[in-house]
Amino acid sequence: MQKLSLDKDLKEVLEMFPKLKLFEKDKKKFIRGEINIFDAADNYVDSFDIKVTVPRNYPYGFPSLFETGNKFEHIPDRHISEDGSCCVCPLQESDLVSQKGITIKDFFLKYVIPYLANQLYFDSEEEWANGDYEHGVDGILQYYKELFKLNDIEEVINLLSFFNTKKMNRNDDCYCGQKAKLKRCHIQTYNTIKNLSKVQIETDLFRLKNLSKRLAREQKNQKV
Amino acid sequence: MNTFSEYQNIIEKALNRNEISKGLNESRRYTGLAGPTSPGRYTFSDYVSNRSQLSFSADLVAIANKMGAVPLNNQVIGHHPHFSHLKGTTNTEKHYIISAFIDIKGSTNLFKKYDEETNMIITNTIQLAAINVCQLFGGFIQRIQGDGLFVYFGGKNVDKSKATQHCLTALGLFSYFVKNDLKRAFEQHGIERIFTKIGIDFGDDDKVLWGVAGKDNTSEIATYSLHTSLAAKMQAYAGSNEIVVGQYVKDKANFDSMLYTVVEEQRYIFSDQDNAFYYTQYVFDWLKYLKSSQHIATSIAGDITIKPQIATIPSIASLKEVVGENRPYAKIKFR
Repeated sequence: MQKLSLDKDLKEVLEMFPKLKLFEKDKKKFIRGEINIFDAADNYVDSFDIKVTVPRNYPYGFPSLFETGNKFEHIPDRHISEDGSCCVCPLQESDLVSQKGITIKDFFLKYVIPYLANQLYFDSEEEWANGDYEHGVDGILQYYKELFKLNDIEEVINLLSFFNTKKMNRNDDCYCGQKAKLKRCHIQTYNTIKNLSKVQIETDLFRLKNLSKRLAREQKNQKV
Repeated sequence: MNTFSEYQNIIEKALNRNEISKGLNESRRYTGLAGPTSPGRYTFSDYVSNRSQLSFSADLVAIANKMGAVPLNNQVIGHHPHFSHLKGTTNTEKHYIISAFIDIKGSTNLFKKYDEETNMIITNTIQLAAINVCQLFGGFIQRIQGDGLFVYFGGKNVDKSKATQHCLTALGLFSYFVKNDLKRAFEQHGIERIFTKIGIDFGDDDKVLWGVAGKDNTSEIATYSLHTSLAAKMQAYAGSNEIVVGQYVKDKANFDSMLYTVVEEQRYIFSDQDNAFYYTQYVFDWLKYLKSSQHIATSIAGDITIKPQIATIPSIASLKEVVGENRPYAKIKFR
C-alpha cells in the first residue's frame, strides 16, 4: 500500500517537474535534476539543480533537499547544514511534519520551491523574505522563544520541561497563569508542543540546558 | 509562452474587431463598427503592414543558434537552394532530406463568425508563424498547400541528427502555440477545434532522389522518395495537435525513446513483405520533449516558457508571494 502510494506520488512529481528523474541506490530512492522557479504571476525567474531524498518510511519522515548546482554558496548563512542539505525550516517543524507525514509533492510545493525562491530573494535583496532562524542551538532557542512568546532562556527551559513531563486537558487552567481555560488561551501553542516527538523535546531541552550553562559561564567570565 | 505573441496579437485583433454580429432582422454587420470610438475593422492592409514587423523573441533565436540551426535565407518556394543546380536540367541527385507536412485543421469553423478577408488574415498569420519558426530552425518551405505547408529540413553539409532535432523542435513549438495560446484566443470567441496535424519522415541519402518536377516555369525541385510520401501519409494518422513520425526520424533524432508511442491504429505505415521491410510510425510526444529541453522552463501549472538568456527577477513582490512563509534555519555543530 505504502509502495503504491509512493510510486503514484513520485509519478505525479515527475510529471509536474519534467526535468527531474528518479534514481535508486542501496534501496534508497532519490529524485535529481533541474527545477524551474516561477513567480506568482507565472513569470520564469531561474532554475536550480537539486536532489531530494525520499525517507525510507515514506510518507513519514522528512525528505532532504540538496542544491547540487552550487548556484549559491554552501555555508550556514545561506542555510545549508554541515551535511550539505538545505535547512528549509526549523528542526521542530520538520519533526512535526515527519510524524504527520508529507507527500513528496507537498514537500516540493511547501518547502523546495519556497526555499529556493527565498534564495533568489536573498540574492536580490540581501535579506530573507520573512527573516530566518539563527544557526544551531541559537535557532532552537529562537523557535521556542517565539512559540512561547518568552524572552528568557530559563523560562523557556522551565516551560518546555513542564510540557515534557505534564499532560494537560483542554479544560485545565492555562499554563501561562491567566485565569482562563487552556482551550480559550494557549491551546494552539500547547497543541504544537504536544505534537512534537518526545525525542525532539528531550534533545532540544538537552541542547538548551547546555546553552544556558555556557551563557552563564560566559557571563561569569565577563564579570571576572 | 510568449514566443508567438506578435502573431497572436494580430489574430486577436482580427477576432475582436471583425466578428460578424447578427441583428434582429438577421442582417450581418461587424461589431468592430458598432461604436463611434471603436478602433474599426482590422483589414488585410492593416495585416500586411503589421506582418512586416513580425519577429521572434531574442530568446527563441538564441535557442536556434545554440542548437546549431542555420536559416536558409532568400528562399524561393519549390527551389531548395542546395539543389538549385538541378533547375533547368534533367539531372538527378541522391541526398537525404527530412520531409514535414503541416496541416491546420478546422479553419472552416471561422466562417461561422468571420468573413473571407478575416479568414485569410487569420489563416495567413498561423501559416506565417509556422513558416518563420521552420525557417529559423533551418527549414525550407517547399510548398504552401491550402491551410498547410510542406517543409524540408536538412540539406548539404547539414548534420542529419541535428536537422531532425531542429525539425522536431520547430514543429513542437508551433504545435504548442496552436494547442495552447491560439486555442485560448479562439475559444474566447466561441471557435473550437482549430488544430494541427503533422507528419514527418526522414529519407537517407540512398532513399531520396532529387530532380525537377514539371517543366519550364511550371516546375519545382522535388524529392522522389518513399519517405516524403510516407510523411504525407503519416499526417493523416496524426490526431488533433499530434506529430506522427517515421522510424528513421526516431532513430536519427536520438531522443529518449519514452517520447514515442507506436500509432495504435496502424503500426506499420509501410510493409514490403517480399523484402521483409516493415516501417513503423510513432506519435512524438512533443510537449514532453519541449518540457525536457534545457532551454525551456515549465511552471507548476504545466505552461512552458523559453528561458531568457540572462535570468532576471521580473517582480520581487511576485517572487515573495512564492516564498510564502518560508523561513530557513541552519543546522550547525551543536556546542
